[in-house]
Amino acid sequence: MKISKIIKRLLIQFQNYKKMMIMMLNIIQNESDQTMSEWDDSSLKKSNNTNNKVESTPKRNRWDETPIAKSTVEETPKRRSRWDETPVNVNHGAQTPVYGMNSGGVTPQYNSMMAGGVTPNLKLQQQSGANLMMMDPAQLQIQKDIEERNKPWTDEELDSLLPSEGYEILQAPPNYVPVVQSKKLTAQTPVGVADGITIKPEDQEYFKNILKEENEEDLSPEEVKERRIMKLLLRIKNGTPPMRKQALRQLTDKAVEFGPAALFNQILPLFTSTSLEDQERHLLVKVIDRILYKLDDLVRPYVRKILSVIEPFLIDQNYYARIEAREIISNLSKAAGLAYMTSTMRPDIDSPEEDIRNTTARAFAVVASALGVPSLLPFLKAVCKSKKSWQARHTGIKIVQQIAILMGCAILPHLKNLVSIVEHGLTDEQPKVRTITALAISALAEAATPYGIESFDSVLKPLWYGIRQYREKGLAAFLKAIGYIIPLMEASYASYYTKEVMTILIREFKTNEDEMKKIVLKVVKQCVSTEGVESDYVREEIIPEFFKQFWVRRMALDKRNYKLLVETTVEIANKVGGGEIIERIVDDLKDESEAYRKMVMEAIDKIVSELGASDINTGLEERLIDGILYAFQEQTTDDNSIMLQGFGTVVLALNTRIKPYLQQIAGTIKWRLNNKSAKVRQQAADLISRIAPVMMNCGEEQLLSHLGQILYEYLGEEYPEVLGSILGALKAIVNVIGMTKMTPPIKDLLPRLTPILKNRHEKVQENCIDLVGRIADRGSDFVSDREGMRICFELLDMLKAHKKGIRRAAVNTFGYIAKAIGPQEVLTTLLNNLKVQDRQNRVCTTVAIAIVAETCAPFTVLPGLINEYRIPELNVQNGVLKSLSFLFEYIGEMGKDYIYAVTTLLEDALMDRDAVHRQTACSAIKHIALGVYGLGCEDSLTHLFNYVWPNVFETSPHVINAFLEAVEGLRFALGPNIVLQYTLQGLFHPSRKVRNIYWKLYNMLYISSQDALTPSYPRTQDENENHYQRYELDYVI
Amino acid sequence: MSERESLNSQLEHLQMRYVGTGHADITKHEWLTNQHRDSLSSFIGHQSFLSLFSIAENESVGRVKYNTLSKMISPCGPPPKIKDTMDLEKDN
Repeated sequence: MKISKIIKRLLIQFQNYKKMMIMMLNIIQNESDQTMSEWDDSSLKKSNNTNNKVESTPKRNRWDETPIAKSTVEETPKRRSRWDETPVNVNHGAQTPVYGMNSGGVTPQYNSMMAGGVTPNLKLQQQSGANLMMMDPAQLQIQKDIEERNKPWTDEELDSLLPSEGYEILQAPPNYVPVVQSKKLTAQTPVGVADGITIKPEDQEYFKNILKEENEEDLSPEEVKERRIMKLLLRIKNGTPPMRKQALRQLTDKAVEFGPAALFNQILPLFTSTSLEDQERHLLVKVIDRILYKLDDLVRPYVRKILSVIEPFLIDQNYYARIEAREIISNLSKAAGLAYMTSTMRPDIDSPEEDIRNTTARAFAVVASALGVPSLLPFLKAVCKSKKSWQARHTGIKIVQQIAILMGCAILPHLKNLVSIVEHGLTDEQPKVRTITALAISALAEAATPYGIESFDSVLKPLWYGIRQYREKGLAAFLKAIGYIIPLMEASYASYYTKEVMTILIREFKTNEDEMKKIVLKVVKQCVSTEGVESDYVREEIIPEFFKQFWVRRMALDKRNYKLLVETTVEIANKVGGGEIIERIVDDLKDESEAYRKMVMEAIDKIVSELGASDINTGLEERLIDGILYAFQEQTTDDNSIMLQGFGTVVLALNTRIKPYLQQIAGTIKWRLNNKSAKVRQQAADLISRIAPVMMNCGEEQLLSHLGQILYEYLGEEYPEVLGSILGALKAIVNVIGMTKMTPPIKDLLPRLTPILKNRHEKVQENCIDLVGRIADRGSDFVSDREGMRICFELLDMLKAHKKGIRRAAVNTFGYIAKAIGPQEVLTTLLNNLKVQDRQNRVCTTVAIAIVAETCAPFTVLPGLINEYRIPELNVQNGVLKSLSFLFEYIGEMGKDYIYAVTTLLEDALMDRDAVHRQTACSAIKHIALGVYGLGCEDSLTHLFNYVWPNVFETSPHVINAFLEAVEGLRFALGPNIVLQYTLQGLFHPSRKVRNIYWKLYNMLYISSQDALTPSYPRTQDENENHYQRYELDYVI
Repeated sequence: MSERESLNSQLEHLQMRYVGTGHADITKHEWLTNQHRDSLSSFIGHQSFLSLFSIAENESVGRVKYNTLSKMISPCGPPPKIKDTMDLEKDN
């Protein structure tokens, strides 16, 4: 199939040579007949003369005959295969910048390659470069694409495609001159560099002015300004983060000076560029936000222009583009003011273009949310009542809908007003206006849920007339509105209205229209979930028709239908009970369509997980398990999480009732564990970890052990995903079966696990550590000293894992192992690890030390730790201090026994020249103080406080924060009054710098213990007319 | 630059949220007024204080409470006039 396609293309490609091919075949025949034509003869002779060497090789391509081809491989810049990407790259590595561009796209490296001048085509490229620069980036893209597809075939490709026997390669006729399409060789323009930043070819059009070498004196002031803005924008868009930050600040500071005209003339075209990436657009949005804020009402003359650029983004496909457009419009409306915004957007409201009206409505909604709905209400009222054109009414009502969607429950205070503005639209003579009104009302009701039914009183009547009157699209919108209003009603009303609407809904079950189907499903879901609707009614009226019309294979094909149907069915099950619904769909688990089986499984999964399995009777249970096993075994697609999930849920829900089927299930699992496909094996292992607890409940210990043994044998699995799942399954089995009864015995299992810890895959690592940690925790008797140490060494590497879960598991495992084999040796390993360079590693080591200290009691660790502090090495000492900090954090009030032991060490650290020493000591003191609060350690804490206090003037943010936190902690332990006495010294110091930080401290104190401070304020004497004494405090009785 | 700005705005925010917090340019009078108000509200909040004061002043508890409340309006008297300080500067 594929080959024939390729051949077909090949033929098209080589139409020019078709004739020659035919001739070639002729020649072969002729040769065998020994009757050559004169023409052939001479041509062959000629070629023989010119190139003997070539003839000697049996297979040689005649196109190589051209002199260029003979020189070097480098000369054929455009040959490349689509099939063997990498090998070609390697072979022709130096070959060709042009080709590099074709494959790699827009790499900046290309530029440097150009500079090297490797390619003979360079001149050509530069010539046409100017041309191409003018090209639209989209056009460039297309051209690049076309060339990629239409590249000539290489010899190797042809060789590999055509059989080697029965064909012969001919020399090109001497008069054949290949058509060189020189233009095609230059797909890409050279990339410019300005300001040290490379510019993408797509952006060159915008930045062409700064690419040229220009003398600033020759330019007018306007042009100079333009160049400056351009440079700043380029830096923001493509520069490094520090560059960007600086440029952004400059642009913001100078915004008023540059003026809105110059700024927006540059930014807006850039914003609409098709080649803009998400990140770049975000940065530009940031620029616009900031300058809008600076320019404020100066921006007014440009509102129109900005809106016309930004509005289309409100309906962009990209979610982030929509969000950013909203942000800009919101800021714009804050800067320009409501009056200006409305007058600018007014003309678009009755524009004949639907798109413009649509975006305008959305823009108005954004304005409303930015400036408040009430200020926009009078305007909206006028628009919605417009007599002039139905378009204006349509847009006005659409604005209301968009406001509801955008603002959600924030519309509640204005709900009544908003409804009264749109209600007349339900009886409008224009069908479009009626539809949008119904949609607006449904949006309002959705946003208001579960409040605000009284606001909708006035629209109930027209809505109910509407659903009898209209068909198709109009009806769908009306049904939707009713669907959203019914859940707001009181039970009795809801029941009445549901019955009213249900006849129409059931009629519409049969619809073929997709949109209608979705709405019907949604409304059924909403109606069924309301309180007042009786289950008997649902059972008799809705269910039969519902299952007949909706539970069909076709529904599984569309993702949204699928989801809605499952949700609605679950909702019905909530009303009438799960057993009944499962009964209806369970046999479909054996349907032949896999997508449909999946949908059934998902529905069952959701129903069972919400309602349990208690109303599933024995017969149904049997059919269910049978169906699930069938569906589980028959799955072929890759995404099989639904089956797994469903299986797990059902087994968990049935619990001990599953016992009779366990043998069968285990058989399936075993068979699948041995499957060729990795996905299947992984799924089987995952299933074990899900159902292990249930198997235990059923008393199937034997079976579990058996599965454990099998999993153990599969530990050599090479796919990491599968290995991770197998480890997870083993963990689940160990968890339920216990360490002592586990087969294989732990002493066999653990040595197999240690090497797996080396695996680089995150899932494997996480599951393996979890398992090892669990064994060390629960089955410490089975961990030999040597094995424990080996694990510790492996764990050291994992302390710097990217995933937090792994780091945490590693640290915890350290604790368990230390407990199992005694802390001494583990501690030595950890302390040595403090000397490594990698910071992340050291930090995690300190955490591990603290954990070890916590699990094995601090006195086993502290002496070694304190001793380590004597090493005159920054990293080690800081590591020790950090360990102390974590240690005291973990041990809490146990710290009171150790506080004297570490006091001198902390003294030393707090007097160190190195700020990090002091910082870390401060945080250690914070934890100590918080831990020993109320335990009578004030003496040493006051002592330490005296060492902490001189750090008050630190300026580095980390140090000062650590200091402030230490003071906070000490305030807690020593009481605020003592800290106040320290603070009072600097509150009225002549130096502002002193006052600043002291007042900060004072405020901290004041906020947290305002009342407690009152008795200890200093005594102040009266002054002139001011009474400063608090005489009440001097009362003595 | 920006850090200082953010610090300032933080401080403003703090002062808006918590009446009674101070800053580097606070006057003695402002600070003491806050102290007094805090003390007075603390007295009202602790019944034992009120009892003590009522015995010492030979007043009913309710009266003491009322007096304390009314004193909170201007506990230290009017703020010293700014003019005075300017005069002082001139004098110096």
